[in-house]
Amino acid sequence: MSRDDSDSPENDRPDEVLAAEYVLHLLDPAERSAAETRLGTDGAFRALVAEWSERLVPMAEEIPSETPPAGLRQRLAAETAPRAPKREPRFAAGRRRSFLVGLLGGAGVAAAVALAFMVATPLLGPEPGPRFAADVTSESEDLLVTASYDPDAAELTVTRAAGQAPEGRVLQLWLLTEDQPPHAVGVLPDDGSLSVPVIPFWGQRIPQGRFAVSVEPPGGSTDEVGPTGEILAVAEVTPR
Amino acid sequence: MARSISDVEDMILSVAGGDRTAFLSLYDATSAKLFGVCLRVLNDRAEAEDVLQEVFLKVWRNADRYTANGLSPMTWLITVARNAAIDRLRARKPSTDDDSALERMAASGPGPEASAIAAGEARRIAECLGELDPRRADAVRGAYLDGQSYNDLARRFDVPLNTMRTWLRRSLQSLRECLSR
Repeated sequence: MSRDDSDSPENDRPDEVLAAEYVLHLLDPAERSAAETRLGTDGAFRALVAEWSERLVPMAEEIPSETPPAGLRQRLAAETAPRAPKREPRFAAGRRRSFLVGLLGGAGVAAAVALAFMVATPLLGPEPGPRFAADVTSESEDLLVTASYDPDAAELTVTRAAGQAPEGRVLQLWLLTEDQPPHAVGVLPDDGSLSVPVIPFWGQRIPQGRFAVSVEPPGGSTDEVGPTGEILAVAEVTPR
Repeated sequence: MARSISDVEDMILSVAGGDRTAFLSLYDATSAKLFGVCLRVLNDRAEAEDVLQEVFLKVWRNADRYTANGLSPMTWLITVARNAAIDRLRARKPSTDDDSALERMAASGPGPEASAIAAGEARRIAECLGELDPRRADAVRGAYLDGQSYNDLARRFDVPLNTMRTWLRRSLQSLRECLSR
């Protein structure tokens, strides 16, 4: 974001103004990041930001409420569901560290794993850093799946822009790493995108890893088994 | 079913303890408002839904930070939703002016949850915005409600960027003085 030279004295604005601009989301990315760092250490600044947040939030009163699509509640319920005890004994999360997270739509057991990892996921860091992403595209370009990892949020966002599984099959995303067997990220939803939490164990491997998409039976394959069907495409992760 | 501020706060505190039932109750009580917030910024239902999912997963993971941030419960939730929506908006591409976002959106009226923002406060800020020059008040509202950047606002009101900065900063100062009266 460019700034005029004539603007530079304005950069010395008082904290009161800076806090308001932070709350309004008017700071450019570098300034916003610096402000977020300060929020972690500077109680007086944090108080100013809290005051401005409370001061301005009544404006939101005029925004009409709108009921979100019912599917969202179902997805959140699935993502936060505890692992079914019969399938996964108490310490299973530790034993099966290699299972990142289950996805939605049919992979009920897999989805249930999510809770364990959310609990294990560290809190968001204050500074936005680079993202790491891979575009998993087949040669014919009839498959395009983007996996984008945000280390700050410890979150992987998977978007399918193109590609359908054959009848009665599903597409499954895998994380390929140097030192681990193929890791079942999950079954791709039929449409749209999906965000899943990532534990540090996999988070630190994603930047050097690759993502792959395979064709699997409904419910997908597991880490122990690895991909069973055709691997449609593989792509390296790069910083974005 | 009416929800009070302390209901929402209790739900957040329970969510911090890993209470999934409380999480879904919190969703039922607040998702319509937060979806409205996301929709207002993004003006795209699919994107707003996607962002709202992120928001609630953040709430699920970070509810334990709520007590440390000093915000009232709805302020915190609206802040998380608004920031996520604006982040998505900025990642999208340079926005075009879109004053019709609200008009295009079906006004569905208040959801089942009661307003957690006191009506008196909403009226106060409306009054204080009313004391500003109308264009400057619209700029403040554009920044807060639509997530418009300084660049967006300068384009929308056809003034130089630095003029817009000055407008906004002075308007915020006037607003603060008015609200503290």
